[in-house]
Amino acid sequence: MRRHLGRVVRLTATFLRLLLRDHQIVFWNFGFFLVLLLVFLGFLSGGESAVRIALTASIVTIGVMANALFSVGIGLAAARERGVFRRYWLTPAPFAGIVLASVLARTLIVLLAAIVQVLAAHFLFDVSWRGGAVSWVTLLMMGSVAFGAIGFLVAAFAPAVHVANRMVNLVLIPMMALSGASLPVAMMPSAWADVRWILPAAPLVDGLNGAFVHGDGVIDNLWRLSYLGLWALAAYGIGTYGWRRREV
Amino acid sequence: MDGSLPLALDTVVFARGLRTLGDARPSLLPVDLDILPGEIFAIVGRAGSGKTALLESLVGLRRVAADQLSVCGADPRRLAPAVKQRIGVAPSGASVERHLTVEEALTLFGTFYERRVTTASLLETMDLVAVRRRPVQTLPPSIAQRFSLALALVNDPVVLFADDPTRDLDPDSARRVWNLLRLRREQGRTSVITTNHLDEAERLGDRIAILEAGRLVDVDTPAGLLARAHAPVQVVFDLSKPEIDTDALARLDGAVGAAGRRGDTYAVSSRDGFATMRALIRLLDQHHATPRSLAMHRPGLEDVFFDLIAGGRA
Repeated sequence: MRRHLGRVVRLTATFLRLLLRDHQIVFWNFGFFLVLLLVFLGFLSGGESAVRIALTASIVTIGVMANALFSVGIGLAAARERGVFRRYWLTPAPFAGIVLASVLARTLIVLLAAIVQVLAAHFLFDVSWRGGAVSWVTLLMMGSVAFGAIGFLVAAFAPAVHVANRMVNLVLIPMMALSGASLPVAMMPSAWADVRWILPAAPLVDGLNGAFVHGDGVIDNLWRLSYLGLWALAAYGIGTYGWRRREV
Repeated sequence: MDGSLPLALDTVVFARGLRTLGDARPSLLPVDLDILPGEIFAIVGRAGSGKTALLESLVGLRRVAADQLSVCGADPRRLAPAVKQRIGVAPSGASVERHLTVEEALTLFGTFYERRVTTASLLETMDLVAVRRRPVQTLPPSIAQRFSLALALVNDPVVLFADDPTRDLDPDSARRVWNLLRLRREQGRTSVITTNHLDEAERLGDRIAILEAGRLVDVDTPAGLLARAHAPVQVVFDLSKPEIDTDALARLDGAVGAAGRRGDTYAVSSRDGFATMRALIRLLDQHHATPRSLAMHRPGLEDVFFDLIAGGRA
């Protein structure tokens, strides 16, 4: 067990290093959302501290969603289409460990990018948080894992990259529009605003807002973290079933 | 199953009634196959005949059914890590992460095996030293093909399965691969290859399996297959003057069918090449004719191949 765990950790580190060599991954995970932060917080926030905090929570949530779905969902589907998993499957290395390391490396990139975004907002635009950083870091971690799991689920059932692309957009766009991550909750019909929490982006954006504005701690966000964890478990469970039943 | 599998096995691949499942194309009809230790086993067939399907079925990449199936003593449908330790596969349509360099990939894959060849030696053997720091995605097809083989050889496998190993290779690289396969044979290691080139199969293969439409038409040594040739021997000579009557040629001992002439080149089909040649020399003497060249062409593997897949043995 310890040997397998050690191998997964080493493979994750290798895959992470390789992902950081990919200019596209670096741009979309880090560069693009930093530019969004600069534009929205620098020019469109009107210098209002409350607006900057809300915008930061929104942009970081959208970043976690989009990056996780694209990096994990489309990234895995593309790797499978190129025969990468097929090549690993032929070796004695445990196949589940290879896929797990690949998912972990991609999820870690998403988490790193989100942390960099929050730190950029903090140091460049004075976006601060009450209490410690543990609360929002934990939320970002669970958010990355949950959306990474949804990406894993997409890759499990998408027969090709172009289908994975459509599936990701089908998940991402409604999630952005209806969770409160891009449209303010106040603008939503009250009936929807009451149930929008079913979308996993809602507890993430609400939790981040709470952590930044009110200093909500991990305990305050426990149900949100649990709900994200539930999504992660369900998506990984169904995704694993999907991966097992298909040929490499 | 553990790492203490016996090295000497009667057969390294044993299949009875092996067939593909589902709607995968090309499908494999029930195939019986034995592959012996230390041989180069070449699978030939037309495009779409099922060569890749057969190879991939043997290494567990396809969903298959079989009455009996064993590769290195285990069922490839449940390929245990211990068996994977002993085989090497260079499949088609497989790759590694695009940003891995050649050297990194070989080193990484080496960590998966208990027995491994050093990366430096693999780079040397497969002539990859000059590209060792290049990302895999930037390799041209011929080098990518050599790299794929190097990955398959990373554990010095007891059985190598290679799908068209000389595809995209220049003659020099192809020769290098042939020498490598011959060296493996000398070391008692088995290689199972698919190829579209009959001359390659004839040159390399200890035994050749001919596949057509997912069916194994025949398996034999190159000599054994050639002995089954139905096509007649061709006695061919070049002569400018005097002209020889082709009807007289068709009446030579052993000759079958009409003799042909194109320019100065005459051709006589024969069931008994030596008898026809002796009779031809007497005929030429009678005409005081000295040919510029005289040769006897036996039917090649290509003739046998087309005979077999045309249904002669179906």
